Amino acid sequence: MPKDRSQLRLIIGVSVITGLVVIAHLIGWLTPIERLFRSITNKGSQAVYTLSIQVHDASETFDSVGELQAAYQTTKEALLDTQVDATRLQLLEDENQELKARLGYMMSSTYQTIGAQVIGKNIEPLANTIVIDRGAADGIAVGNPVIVDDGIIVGKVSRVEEHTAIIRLLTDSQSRVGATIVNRDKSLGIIEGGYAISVRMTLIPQNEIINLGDAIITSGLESGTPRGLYIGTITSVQKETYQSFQEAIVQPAIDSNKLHTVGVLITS
Amino acid sequence: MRLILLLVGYTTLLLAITIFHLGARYILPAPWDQINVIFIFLLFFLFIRQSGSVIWMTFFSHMLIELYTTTPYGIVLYSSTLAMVAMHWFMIRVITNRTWYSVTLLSIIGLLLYRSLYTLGIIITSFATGQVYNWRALASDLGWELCLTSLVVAGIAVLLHLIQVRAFHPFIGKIYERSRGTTFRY
Repeated sequence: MPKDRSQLRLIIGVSVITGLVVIAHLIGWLTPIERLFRSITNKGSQAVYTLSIQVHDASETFDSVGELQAAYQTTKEALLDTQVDATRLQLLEDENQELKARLGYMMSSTYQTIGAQVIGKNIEPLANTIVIDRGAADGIAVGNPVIVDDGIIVGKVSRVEEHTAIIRLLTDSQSRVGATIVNRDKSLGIIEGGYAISVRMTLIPQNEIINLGDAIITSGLESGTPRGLYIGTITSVQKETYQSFQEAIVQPAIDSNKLHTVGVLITS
Repeated sequence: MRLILLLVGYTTLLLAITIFHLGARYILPAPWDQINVIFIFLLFFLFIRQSGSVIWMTFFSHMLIELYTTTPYGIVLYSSTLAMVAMHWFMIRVITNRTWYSVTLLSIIGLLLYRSLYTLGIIITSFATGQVYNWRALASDLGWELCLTSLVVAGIAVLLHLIQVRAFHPFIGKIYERSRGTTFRY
């Protein structure tokens, strides 16, 4: 009986101490200690994360020469198409700027990109996140969109510390991003994660036509997230006549397991 | 002076174990990245030293882990520490031998307790914050963690027996003697 009492006292002691630590963390008393330990573990985390990128890159192989040749040919054709699209896009951008100038259009805000290195990723079952080496000291705030390659969104800032931040990727189950389909109807919807490597676009009006291969971009209707950031393409459409909305499975443009450097968009 | 050196030693050990745990998560392919390295280390520390200090090691190591999680602060910390308290009690009062299957059983019990408390904490906070979680993915990841971590624990226990550390290494042999002469046996 005395041993059981001491066990009960231990459980109560642990509960009280944990509660005090949580309160101290929320108030901010633990911040200096956390900052110190984080600076030490981040260095180790960065080294092993860089190693993990190299290891996983090296693990991609082709089963035969024919497969390699086919992949090369596909990549070549895609590059050519991209070059054509880039030229067309540049012409459209120039025309757009000229038209805006004629209308006297004033930009309501501009965005600045802060480059950051990925130094770690999620270690808990529920999250799909990465850790970057920029934080509040660099002007980063919760909700800032995070991009790669100048225009592909990969997630949003979820938690900010002084010199680091945690980014919630699009594939995370808590991720929600307003999106538009590049189709005739300019269909609006919400991109939701939590479906392994794909994401799902929900709340698409039932009567609007969407097709496989349609591109998805950010809608710009959220504060802090500009319009036009590329998300991915539709790979499957789920439509039931008795439901008000239809859904689409979207393949993100970027493999979020191999991110090395990202850019955080902040409003300047 | 001795206390300071002990403190520095334990802190360095905890930092090293945390970085090793992060490394395993990043480098190992799925589903092997679900192996809980910190838990394995703490379990063997408990088994070999049989000391209550493992509870505070669990507490401080998971305070470091909390820095890299997005779940509400305190869930991982509290569930892991409480699970270790229960494991310590189980080891002292229930599991009386030191065989490889007893350490594996303790691993399974500990992980079940840890993740049950963790899931309970998530459910409670999800009601408060309104967050929606992918429970199927969580169950899958936790299932893999339970199976693979226990498998690794069993493997290490068998290996320790095969190596017969008490015969080869006098220093480690003294640790065994201090822990009342127990060794891993079949």
